[in-house]
Amino acid sequence: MTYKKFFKKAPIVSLKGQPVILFDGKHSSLLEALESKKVKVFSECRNGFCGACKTTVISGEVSYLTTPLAELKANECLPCCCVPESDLNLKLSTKGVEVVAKRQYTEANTSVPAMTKLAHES
Amino acid sequence: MAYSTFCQTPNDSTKEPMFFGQSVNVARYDQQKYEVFEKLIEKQLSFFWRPEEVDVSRDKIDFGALPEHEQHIFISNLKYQTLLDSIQGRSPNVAFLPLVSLPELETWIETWSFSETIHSRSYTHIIRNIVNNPSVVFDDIVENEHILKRAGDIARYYDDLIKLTQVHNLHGSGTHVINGEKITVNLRILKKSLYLCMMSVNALEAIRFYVSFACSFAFAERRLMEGNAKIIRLIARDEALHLNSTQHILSLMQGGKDDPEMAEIAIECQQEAYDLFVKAAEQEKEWAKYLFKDGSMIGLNEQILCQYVEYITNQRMKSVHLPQPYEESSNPLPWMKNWLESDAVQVAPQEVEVSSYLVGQIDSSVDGDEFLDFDL
Repeated sequence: MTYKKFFKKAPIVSLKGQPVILFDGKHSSLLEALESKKVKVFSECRNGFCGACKTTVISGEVSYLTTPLAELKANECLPCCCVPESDLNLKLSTKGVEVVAKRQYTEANTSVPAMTKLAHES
Repeated sequence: MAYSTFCQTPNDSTKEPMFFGQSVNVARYDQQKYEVFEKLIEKQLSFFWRPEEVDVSRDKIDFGALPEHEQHIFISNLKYQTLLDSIQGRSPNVAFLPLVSLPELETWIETWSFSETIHSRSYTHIIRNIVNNPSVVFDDIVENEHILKRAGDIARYYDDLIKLTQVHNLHGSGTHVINGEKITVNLRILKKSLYLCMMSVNALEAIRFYVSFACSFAFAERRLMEGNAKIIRLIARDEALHLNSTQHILSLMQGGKDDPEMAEIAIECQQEAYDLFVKAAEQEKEWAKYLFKDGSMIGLNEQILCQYVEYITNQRMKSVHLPQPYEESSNPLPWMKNWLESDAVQVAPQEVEVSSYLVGQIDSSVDGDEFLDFDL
């Protein structure tokens, strides 16, 4: 299991495009990882048979720890029994979630002073 | 097609629809149209438990110490659950088995219904333990107007389907006068009745049960009636599976691949299905009012329980592709998750130490204080 850490990049889980979790193997399921970041996901059986935590996947792949019994469309996953295989973008709200602020590059201090034409350009 | 317990026409059951095809003849599972039902059966069988495995003797002491309004909450919920499982223990068999045409689905329905009979037996186990005369509880179920009001709505869809099936079996399609009552029946009417019945069962397993679950777990959060909570937890685990199965059946019906006419009916019945769910939710909210009429309990009151009903109604309706009637909110009872998590269910008594499991029903823990008056 440990070798994976060297060769596989830890998947980034985003909610509607906002990166929220680096899935580095500290959590046994996607649901646990989401809950650790206080993402609001409804869950009941947490074993893949009630389907309460069904979530829409915008992009990315998951792999299942146990085969889910609940009915899933091609773009849905059950976070309680899966882990991300690649970077994942889920259709979940970031409301109340501690998010990693993306570094903002402002152009405030990099304004270009007035252009003056050089002699050879004219 | 009239029902036969063993139809002698050879057929390939994988080419039949779920319902209203040729009745199942050979119970074979080597070829399956929908494998999910086989998986559900396996899961349900792996969940097998017996009420006697759970010791509820501590609950008698807890129950005696509860204030009267909390006893009312506890007993009323047990009565209601007894009613629900009385219906579920037989109705899927009586109503669905004559219509089903896939062996795996037929067996699933039987397995499902059987597990509900275990639930019924467990209520007797609990009630027998906490009251001296269980009849006081059981007899009231068919007299209590708050319970009967909902019983009517639950049984109606089953009764409707059963009656139409019988008429269709005996007299075929057409309008018939039976005991002075004019009944029109054809395959489409039957399919519509089945679709609505399945929706009603889904609402029952999805919403109605959860009000009682919430109360039982609220007691257990206070370390009261823990034996009962342990049983309810096993019941909740089964119900989640049943709920999943009716969601599967409804999705297959709505998808139309199984039976194109069913998909048309699903669209036609959308409003009726929506109303049925809302009515169930509103009835449960009224029930919450009745439960807390003499006072709330710590950790749960009418308002929170009603919010919970609205919250799960939205969730469940989303699962069967219906619009959501209530405003979106966050889960008002987040701790329910700890009780509904199936991994936390104690599988075998010897595996995990749970506070209410006592070997030989004798508590062997001795407090140091008990030796204080000893003189040597």
